[in-house]
Amino acid sequence: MQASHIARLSAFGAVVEITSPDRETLEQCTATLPGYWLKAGDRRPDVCFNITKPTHEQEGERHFLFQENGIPLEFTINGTQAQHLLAKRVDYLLGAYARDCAFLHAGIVVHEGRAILIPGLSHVGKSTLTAALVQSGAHYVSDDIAVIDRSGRAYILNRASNLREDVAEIFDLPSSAHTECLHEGTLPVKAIMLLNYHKSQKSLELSPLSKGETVLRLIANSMNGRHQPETVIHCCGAAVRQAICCEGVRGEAKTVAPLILSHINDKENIDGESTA
Amino acid sequence: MAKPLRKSGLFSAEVDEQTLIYDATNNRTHCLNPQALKVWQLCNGLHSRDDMVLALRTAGHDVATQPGDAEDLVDAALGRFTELEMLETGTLMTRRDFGKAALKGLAAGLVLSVMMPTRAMAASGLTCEDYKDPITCVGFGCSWMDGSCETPSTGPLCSDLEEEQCNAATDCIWVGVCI
Repeated sequence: MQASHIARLSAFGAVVEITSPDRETLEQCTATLPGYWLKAGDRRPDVCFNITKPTHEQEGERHFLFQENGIPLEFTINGTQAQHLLAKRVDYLLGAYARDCAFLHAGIVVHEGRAILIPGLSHVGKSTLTAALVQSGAHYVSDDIAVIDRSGRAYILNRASNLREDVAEIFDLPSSAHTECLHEGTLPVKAIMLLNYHKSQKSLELSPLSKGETVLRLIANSMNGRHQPETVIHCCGAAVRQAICCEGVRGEAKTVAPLILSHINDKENIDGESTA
Repeated sequence: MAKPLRKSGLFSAEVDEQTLIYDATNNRTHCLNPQALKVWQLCNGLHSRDDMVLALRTAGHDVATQPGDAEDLVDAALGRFTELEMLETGTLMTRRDFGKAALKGLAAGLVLSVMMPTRAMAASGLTCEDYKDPITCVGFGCSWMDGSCETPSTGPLCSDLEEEQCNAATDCIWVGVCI
């Protein structure tokens, strides 16, 4: 039986175990994971990845088998592909197994010290709108994942920007840079905007959304809702309490991004005045 | 109809004036408006449908200021609870009980409901056309148009992509199929 090197890592309560035939491969693979993955000690893993011994070499390049919970995901991939696949799978599964927080499909930017969430699934225009908001003065956090803690605050994760190259190019933004202006930590959620894009829509049409319905909409975009339903409801409930919640139809991202920011500011001023 | 009884083991949380209820048996989360909540609180196995109507009228709730209001509200709410399997089996309303109130269009607004997605569902394992109610439809980023759920025309879903495109997309991953 071949000797194995094992790393057990944890982030947001999820634990993964990575097994590799040699230390070098293991270190290379774990080095590509975001900094919030920390050593997990002896906690039982949610998912086990097994990068098995090279089966053969082609022109000096080593190849591996890649298994997830014993099921082969990819056969004979090279080291770089193994790192890439591991990073993708770990990120993918983190959403499902995270505890004590809600993982949501949402773009997230920071504006004037608070977070704005743009929930929505893949390919509904989150990245484009996130990029347009950044171009309009907000700070990029993520265009795909928002993490909300039990007090309803959004995590500012030091993840590399994942903006699609085509989107980044349109908005003249870097497609793979770390966020520089923001410190890791959490921020309160200022607004949750549930927007649908329609080609025929010229501008922005918004209507207020009740807090309860906003929670339902967030839940519909949750990744760990099945595994942690009560936590996800709690976290989303806490997030909406202080947030401006809107739904609507939007036109082109470039046109509507400044309008979104100004709507949020106006709404905040009105709410502030009525509270005072 | 027997005296309605709430299903046991439901998790509930309040958000503003609305109440969220999670049912682990079907992975659904419901959002009750204040009117539905008043009926829900009476679903303790001690009140018949008529008792509930009387209770709402006697308490002088603002939801039941007109003679027919309390009756319609109770029927609509119980119908919706039945439809969403929120009551214990044996206390469910029949379709006939529910019909009148449902026709008045009261029921849907009382209780909104969404299924807790699996990770695969959240990563677009289903298409927009699979969602049959507007809340789930819009919640998944689809467009609700003329009574059906449609895919927004901004790009393909992960499941539409070939291996090469899938690997290039940041939100998708290839595992034999693109998810």
